[in-house]
Amino acid sequence: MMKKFLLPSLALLGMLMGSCIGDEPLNAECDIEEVSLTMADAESVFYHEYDTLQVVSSAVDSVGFLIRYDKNVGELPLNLKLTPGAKPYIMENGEYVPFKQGSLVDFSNEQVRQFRIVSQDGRWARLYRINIVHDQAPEREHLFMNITFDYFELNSTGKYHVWYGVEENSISYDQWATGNPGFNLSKSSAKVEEYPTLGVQTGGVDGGPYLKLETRDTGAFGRMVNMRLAAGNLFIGTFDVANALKDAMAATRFGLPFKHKPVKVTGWYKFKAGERFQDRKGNAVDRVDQPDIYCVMYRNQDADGNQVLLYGDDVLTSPAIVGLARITGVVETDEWTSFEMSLNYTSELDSELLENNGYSMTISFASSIEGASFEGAPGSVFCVDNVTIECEY
Amino acid sequence: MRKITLLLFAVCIALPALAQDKWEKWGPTSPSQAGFLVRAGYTIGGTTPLPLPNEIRSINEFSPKGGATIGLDVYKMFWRRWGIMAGWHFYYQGFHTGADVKNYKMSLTQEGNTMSGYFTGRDITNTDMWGMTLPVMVTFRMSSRWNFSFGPYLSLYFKKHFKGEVYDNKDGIGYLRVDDPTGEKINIDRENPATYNFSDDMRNWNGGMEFVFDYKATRHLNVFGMLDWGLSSIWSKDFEAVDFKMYPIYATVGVAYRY
Repeated sequence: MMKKFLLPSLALLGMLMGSCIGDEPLNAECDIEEVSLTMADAESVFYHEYDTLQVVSSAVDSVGFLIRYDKNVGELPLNLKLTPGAKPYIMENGEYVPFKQGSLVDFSNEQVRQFRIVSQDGRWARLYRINIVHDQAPEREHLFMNITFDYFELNSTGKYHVWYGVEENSISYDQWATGNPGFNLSKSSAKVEEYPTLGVQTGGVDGGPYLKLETRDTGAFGRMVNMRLAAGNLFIGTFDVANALKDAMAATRFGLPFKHKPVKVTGWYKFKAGERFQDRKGNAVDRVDQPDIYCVMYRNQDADGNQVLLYGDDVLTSPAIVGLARITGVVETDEWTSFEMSLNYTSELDSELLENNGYSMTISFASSIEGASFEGAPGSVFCVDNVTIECEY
Repeated sequence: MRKITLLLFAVCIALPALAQDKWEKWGPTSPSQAGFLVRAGYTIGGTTPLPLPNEIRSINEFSPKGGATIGLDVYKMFWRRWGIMAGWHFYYQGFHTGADVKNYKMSLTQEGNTMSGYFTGRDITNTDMWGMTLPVMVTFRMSSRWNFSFGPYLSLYFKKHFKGEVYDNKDGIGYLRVDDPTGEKINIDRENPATYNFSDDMRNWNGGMEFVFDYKATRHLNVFGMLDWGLSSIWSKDFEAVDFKMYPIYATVGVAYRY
């Protein structure tokens, strides 16, 4: 008798709970995940064998390959690793035509080739630009690279500042990165001036623009993933937002190839520590927050020819480091105060390696010294202006 | 079937006097009689989108949390076979599920900040509800010992939870594409899952249909099976974090004392 009503109910539940999985939807993504060029004896044109392959971050839509200043390329076979099922198109004579993997693409004269990738379900598309550009010719002379922090603008979504452009005899701002994209994830409602890394138009040491870094609370989403604060930071390298939640230390990738020998860093700062220093769990700790500046020169290839990149957890400790400078003796002050730090080298630079992009350099500014571990005092403000990197050659 | 046929045969054609005795033995003796039932039962079920959207690729874990229902039903028969029944049931129900999803549109809002996009990976959900249900049903006396009742119900929640987390699936795939499938890809793994809590986004009430089969096992004891099929989504009108409506569907089996 129980069967009579039990069976229909159980059958119904069974039906609801699993046996009616629908057809798998087609892929909606349309990324280029990797770009590779095929070339025999690649090291004679590029610097390293691995320079012919680039892993493309999801946030990137422009891929540039670097070749030696005195070399040229013409047509090269190109392979694109795409989201499964996505279809590639290449711009030819003003219109997109289907692109066949491995076919020859003309990259002569640094021309920018445009691609359109359409998702498997046909509903989404992304545009990409790929080109091959010449490196700068090495100039071996004593020089001073000025970083004035004068060139910044809103990012493409208008949320936060990014640094861009090139100052004379200095580092291209395209090489600077910040953690702002990560902060944007946790605090979508933040106004531009509420981001940890901010460009300020007036009030610098020379009255003009300066860099303002402030350690910020990341709100409810930050607590959700145990990343309760974001220190303001600006550094040479890239910020991989894809890993900002999964492995924050791996998200900050420090350094880009550098052909000079930095020996001294000077500049101006103002600092005020936030009131409450907290550990990663948000508990108050009896400690006064400190800002951080360091400059690192490292060997970017290991003995087996693999690329070496420094991340948040080894940027100051990696055995690949050959030269290091870190700021000391920072005081709380609301007057612009000068600082100076010298790089200590553990070994002399190999000039041939230097010319062949064998070393990478980073300089990093942060409003909380333990910010990479999400420890610090929200409200710590570190302002920096007119930094100079003196290079011996 | 044989039983029913035999019963019908007995009731309708053969021995009217005996049938009359049986009818009276098991039920109200006069058409206008009223009474009540005190019910207690075990409740299982789930809260689910209907039909399952294609974005849900597989359900890897499903465990109903042992729920319970106690309640009181009052009935009154107007005719020999037809009457009405109204009830007042208290319940606890809930379930736990783990599903693999693909391009699952979701949006989380916390303290005025929104994170939205398309998630691919494992989604774990835990839900609990404490509440009371007020059904108003038509009762049909199918035979001397079987009753079937059905009708709309209104359910009010005293307490409700809808919580969960998202992370990578067994192949290590777990990521959110911010805003749309061309947006930034944010990897999420079980070491650092993203949690959500939509408890406050649930309505305080639910409406649906209740179906009850009662079998008169002894003179005062019924065995029953009951299905509460929610027809209103559990989500508030302006809730957008989950892209589809979800309905509570819970079944109860138990015993009732009949006065």
